[in-house]
Amino acid sequence: MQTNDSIATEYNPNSFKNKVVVSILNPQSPVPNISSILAHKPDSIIFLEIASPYERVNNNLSKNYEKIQYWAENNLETLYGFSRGLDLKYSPKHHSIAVNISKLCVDDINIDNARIVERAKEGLNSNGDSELIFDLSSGRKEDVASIVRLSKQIDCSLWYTNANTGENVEVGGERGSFHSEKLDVVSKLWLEGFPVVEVNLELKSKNINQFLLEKILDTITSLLSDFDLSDYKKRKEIGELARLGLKQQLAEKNLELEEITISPQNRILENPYDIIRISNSNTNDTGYIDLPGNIFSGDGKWLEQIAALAMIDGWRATNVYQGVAICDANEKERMNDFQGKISHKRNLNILSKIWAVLFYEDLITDNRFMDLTKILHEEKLKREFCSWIVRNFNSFPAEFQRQLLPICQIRDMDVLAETEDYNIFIECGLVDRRNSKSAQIDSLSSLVAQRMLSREIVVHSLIDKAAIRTDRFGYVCSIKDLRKMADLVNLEINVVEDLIDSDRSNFSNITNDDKEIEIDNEEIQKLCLQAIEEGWIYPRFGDEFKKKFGITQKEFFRVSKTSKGGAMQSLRKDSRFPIYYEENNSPPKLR
Amino acid sequence: MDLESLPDSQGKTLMLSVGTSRANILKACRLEGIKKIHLILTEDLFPKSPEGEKQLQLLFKALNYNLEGEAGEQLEYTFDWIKGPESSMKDCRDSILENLDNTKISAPDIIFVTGSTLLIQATIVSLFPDAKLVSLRRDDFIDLSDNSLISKSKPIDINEYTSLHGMKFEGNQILLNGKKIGPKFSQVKMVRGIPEITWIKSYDNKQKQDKKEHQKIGSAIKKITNHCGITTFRFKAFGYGYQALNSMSRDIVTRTPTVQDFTNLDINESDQISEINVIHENRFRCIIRLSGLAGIFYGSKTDLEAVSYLVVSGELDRKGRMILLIDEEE
Repeated sequence: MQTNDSIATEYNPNSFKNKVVVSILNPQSPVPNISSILAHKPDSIIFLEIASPYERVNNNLSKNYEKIQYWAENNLETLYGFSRGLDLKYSPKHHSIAVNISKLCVDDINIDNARIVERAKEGLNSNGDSELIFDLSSGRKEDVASIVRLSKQIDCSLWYTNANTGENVEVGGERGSFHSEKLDVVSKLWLEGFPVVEVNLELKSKNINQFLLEKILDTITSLLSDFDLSDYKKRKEIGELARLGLKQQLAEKNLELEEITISPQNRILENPYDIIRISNSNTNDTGYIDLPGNIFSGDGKWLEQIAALAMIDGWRATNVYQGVAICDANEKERMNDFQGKISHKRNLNILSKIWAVLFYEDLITDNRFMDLTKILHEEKLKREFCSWIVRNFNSFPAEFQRQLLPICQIRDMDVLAETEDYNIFIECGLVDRRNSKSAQIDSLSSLVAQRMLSREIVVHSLIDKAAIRTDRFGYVCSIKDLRKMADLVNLEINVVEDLIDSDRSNFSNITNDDKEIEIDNEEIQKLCLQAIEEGWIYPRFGDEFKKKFGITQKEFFRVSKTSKGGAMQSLRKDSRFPIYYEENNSPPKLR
Repeated sequence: MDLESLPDSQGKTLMLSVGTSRANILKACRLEGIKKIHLILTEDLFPKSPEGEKQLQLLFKALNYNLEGEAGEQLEYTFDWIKGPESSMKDCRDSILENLDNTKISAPDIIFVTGSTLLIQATIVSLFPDAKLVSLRRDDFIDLSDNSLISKSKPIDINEYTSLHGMKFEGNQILLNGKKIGPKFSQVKMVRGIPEITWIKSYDNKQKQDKKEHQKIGSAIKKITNHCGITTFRFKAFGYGYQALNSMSRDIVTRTPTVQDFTNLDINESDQISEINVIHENRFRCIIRLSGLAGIFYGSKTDLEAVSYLVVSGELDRKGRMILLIDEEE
């Protein structure tokens, strides 16, 4: 039995020439098994495939074993049907481990223990210059417990590898421990069956000048305190003012600003865009930080980039990815998604661009598709052209395939940050739509990272709103609070009530002081008319509004904005009812 | 075999480590022949905070209820604290080795290995090499030394099960720690000792559909699994199509109905379906809505016009759609 007298030791995982690892094949995910390989770098690894009475579990075991084999050959992309040599930028990270992988099918560890021991010994050198390790980081708890007992029959050590952190500890024995390389988040996504086909922006903390970053983020958050970007009616105007303010304040801090127009790398999906490159003009430091040229604009994309920078500043993230697109691992499903999207009437511009590239690069081999106008106007021909593209997809030049792949995306992540211990999923929105955004980000991490250690954060631009903690690992906060990791993790849990939001989005009834008020479009219309006529629309009236109409002004806006036909929308277009603030020409709010 | 047949059958101590999933604790408490239970609690799951206090109260409330209610006599329980894996694996392991050292506690007779994390289980098992290992497979207590059945666990009431996890079902609504989560579910029932929550998309045309309902279900599942562990509840979501594929973990949520799911909605073999609501059709088949689930009729809509009802075949196609047939006699 282990006693307190044992002295913890730092273990050197590279100290033996021949290393054999035995581990239970994991049915849910190949990540723990691959983490064991990365940790021990064994010469050979034997996976125990424990038969399950459930077909689904056995299928998962086979699939995971296959994934591990392809990963070991640095070739996971081809397992998912991506062309060989496609050279995707965000493919699983390549490694240089040469490991002999095999499996041993067993019905039960206790019954088959002699076979397990025999097989493990086969891999060991006869001269004793070998090490046998049982890695206990995967499989059922009862199987792991049985392995611990089985290990008494053989000279070996027991180890546990934490796939999230790369921390390895010896179970019993000499209390050894060491840190090993861990799988990066992009590789994990691939192994979980979610190939990453596009990343808009990748930030590495080691390349970022922390001093410059802090200065820039301080300036941005201070500007957000001065302007109210939540006022969507004045967002454009306020955005312009804020952008000017940012440039002025950065210049006052002796930072150099350069506005650059970037040509798109992806000819199909992107247009040229502007960036503001900021560097330190007073020092010899050559580092710079890019901000989106359209910062403070109404589309909110800029908020994602600022949130990405804030993760490096406040959460010590090592790698941050903004705009991550994932697609289906199944080639058939992926291509179905692709065909559905390019043939959709909403995406005629994309189809036109694809045609243009194919035409000018002389890749169209079927004469029926030489006339774009005909394709766009004849539904049948359009469908045939789309299906021709799908059939010939793998024969297109690699660069062109890479540009087309983001079209297949099934979900995207606004920001994905990787820290030493866990991953952080962030969903951004200029206004605080915490309920729907929380559902969005939770469902995403539930899909791709159910077994990863992760945090989920909804970020908005309303810096006056207090941050809340929605569950053990979930938060809703402003971009300003996002930088204060310690404050966020110390918040008490305050669960978001999804249902209330869900009911309100139906607009059939609204709960107010425990009394259900039935509101139909006609009533909303009436309320809108009354509110506008009486000048109740702008500015915020707080309790007064509630007293008058029975619902809060915020609820009123939400209802009127999204009700069928958009009651507010139609009223706004109606010249009889000019919006109150426009009439009075109120200036943008500058606090 | 049962525990009484093991040597020294009097006053057996069962050691069990408490993880996010708590239902197995209730079951383990009811294992016959146990006199004392030694709980291992982690500081991660039971922190020194109001939230941790609440969790602890829930646990002890359930334990007290069980120890008095089932065994007929008062069982004794003790507990020890260890650092959980969230601090670091090394700290977690070392705190087990230090806090559970045999100079501080007496070795357990039995270790219940279904619960907590792999590292904690492995370390405890290695620390007490003479203890019997007992596992729970569904409702069966298994002696791992020879895979023999010790006994069957007694059924747990669904309310007791959920309250131990800080959950409650109220009017088809899930409440987690008193707060509503997710959209209303269609049904919940105890299946093989585990509550199964099913959401079926409503197609009531009178009510505007919540386009993001699938995401809210995914979010609720995430909250539940974060709170109670992955295997504590089973989840089903039907009728959400590809949206469910992109919002819920494929391993955790069942999206293809079985015959039993139709039976739960009172759709049984040989039933006659007279309200034929075709939602999609082509020359070869019609998809028909059946109380939120789908049926399939292999024929055109014109064929359907000639009949007044369809008969439930009791068989499903590979997508979980109930095959509907024309009654030849009609």
